[in-house]
Amino acid sequence: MDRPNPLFRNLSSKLASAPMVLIVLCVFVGGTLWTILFSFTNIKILPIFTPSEWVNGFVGFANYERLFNTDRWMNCPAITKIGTEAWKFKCAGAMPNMVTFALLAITISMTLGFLLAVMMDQKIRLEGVFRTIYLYPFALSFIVTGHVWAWIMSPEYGLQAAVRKLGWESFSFGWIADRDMVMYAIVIAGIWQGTGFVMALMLAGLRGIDEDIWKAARVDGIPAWRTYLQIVLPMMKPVLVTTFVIVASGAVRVYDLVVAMTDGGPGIASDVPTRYVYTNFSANLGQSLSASTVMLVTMAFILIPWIRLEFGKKEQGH
Amino acid sequence: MLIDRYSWPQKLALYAAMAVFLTFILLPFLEMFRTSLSPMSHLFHAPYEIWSDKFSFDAYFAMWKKVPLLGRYIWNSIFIASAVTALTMIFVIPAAYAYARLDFPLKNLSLGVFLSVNMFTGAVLLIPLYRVMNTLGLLNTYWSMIVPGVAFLIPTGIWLLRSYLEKIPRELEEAAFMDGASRLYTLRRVVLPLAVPGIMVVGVSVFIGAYAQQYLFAITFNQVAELQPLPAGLNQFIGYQTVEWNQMMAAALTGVLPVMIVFLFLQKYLVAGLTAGAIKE
Repeated sequence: MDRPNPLFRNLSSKLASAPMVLIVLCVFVGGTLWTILFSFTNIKILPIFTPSEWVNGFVGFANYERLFNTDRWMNCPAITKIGTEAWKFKCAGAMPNMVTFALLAITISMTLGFLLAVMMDQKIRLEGVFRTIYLYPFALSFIVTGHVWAWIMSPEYGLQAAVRKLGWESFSFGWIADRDMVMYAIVIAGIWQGTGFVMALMLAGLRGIDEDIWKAARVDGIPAWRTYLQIVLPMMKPVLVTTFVIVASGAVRVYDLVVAMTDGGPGIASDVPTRYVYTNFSANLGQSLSASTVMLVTMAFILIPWIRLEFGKKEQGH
Repeated sequence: MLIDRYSWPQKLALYAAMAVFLTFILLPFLEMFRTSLSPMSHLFHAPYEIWSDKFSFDAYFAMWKKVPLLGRYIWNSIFIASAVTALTMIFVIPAAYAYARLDFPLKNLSLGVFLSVNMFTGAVLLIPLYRVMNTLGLLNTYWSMIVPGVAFLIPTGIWLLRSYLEKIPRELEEAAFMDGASRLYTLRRVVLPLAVPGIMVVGVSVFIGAYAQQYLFAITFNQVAELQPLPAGLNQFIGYQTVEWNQMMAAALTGVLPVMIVFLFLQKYLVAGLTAGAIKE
């Protein structure tokens, strides 16, 4: 065979990445631009992508104005009326629900995931068994998780009924049917599904820490918990950031879980942005598109700092 | 780690904490199984019992009659996830190699962008995707669920496999080049055989991802009942009046069983695969 010449090298690299680049460009970048552009129009049915269609339908920010005036999307009367004290409890709608879910899911799953990883790191027996079982929920689809937790937290059949029949009459865990608690019910199901995965990421991060750090800390007489908190945790920053991005983007796009568990109910108490996009898809396209764009912007706030951290530095290094 | 000398109360506390979380993870599975064994009348009226003489596997037989296409749904789920995995790997292997070994402009940035768009939901891109599917005439076919699945998993696949390929010593390839092998020949005969464990790991992660994400694409792009995957089919146990909970749980358990078994054997690889991209060495 001939020796590879520079042209061929270039060609093969281009050939290798071409299909993937094309698909990603068409589907993602094209689709994203299309969503953003047409969110500024008053189109009612799925249009053919032509510039004239866009120019004729252009309505500026009208869709966004309507979106944020829709109670189902966001309803925060308390911000102006009651002041800072009660806003948390008064804000309702798809967007605040998503923020509640995201904040709680990120905080709890990352704290719990890190603690579990630290425990797993203590040379415990049966580590493989624990790890497998902790990771099992991750292999289920959100639909199955949603149905199971809907059953457990339903007031008539689930854990509430079981505990009450055992004699604790005031026990209340029927969160699926409780307007004030339903988002927390979804958080619990989300944590059940995702914490094992967070733990696996954190554990890999812990195992990547140099043994010498531990020896040095031991020589200096620093207790283990302080070593974890003040030395190991800062060193795990890249893993923490990656985990955060994965959990956060998962929380922003939560859909299957909500649909299977509550379908947005009771009423619209557990509605989320993705469900808003989906239910407006056929009847109210402008609302769907503008809601999508708001989600894209939210996503960008999470992702852009991460891209710069994860991929930006190496570019300069080359 | 190095601190392995704990006093027994400390050890007890450690295992107690592990056990508490273990219970939290296992209880829903057990409750699922218990519910699947209970007769419907038992679920609504009888006092809560951990075990009862009336428990039987009846639901596991009745569910095939209640939802006649159930077998088809389970098969569809596995078929779609397998097709997505196979196609994704075909795209991912050469691309991951390119990202691991070759230099081209904006290499890292482009991967970062691909990876972040991968994290956009199907719901955000639902409308343009619907448009694309409609134009290509793919709506209501298996392809309508396979194509978006592949598109959403390619970036993660590249990210994970790249870090594996980077660990293969360059010297082996350089030796092949010295002997006059072309780059594609080297990829096929030198790199791929060495990368088999990594490819398997990424394949398993992609399969799990494909299996988990099918629902949204299925209900959006497909109206044909015979082509629906299991998560969409489970909804048929929800009637206007009552939900056939025992059969639904039985169907869900039966449906996830193949994945669970695969998971049990490949768990070690999966952990490595899921974390490969996140850990720098």
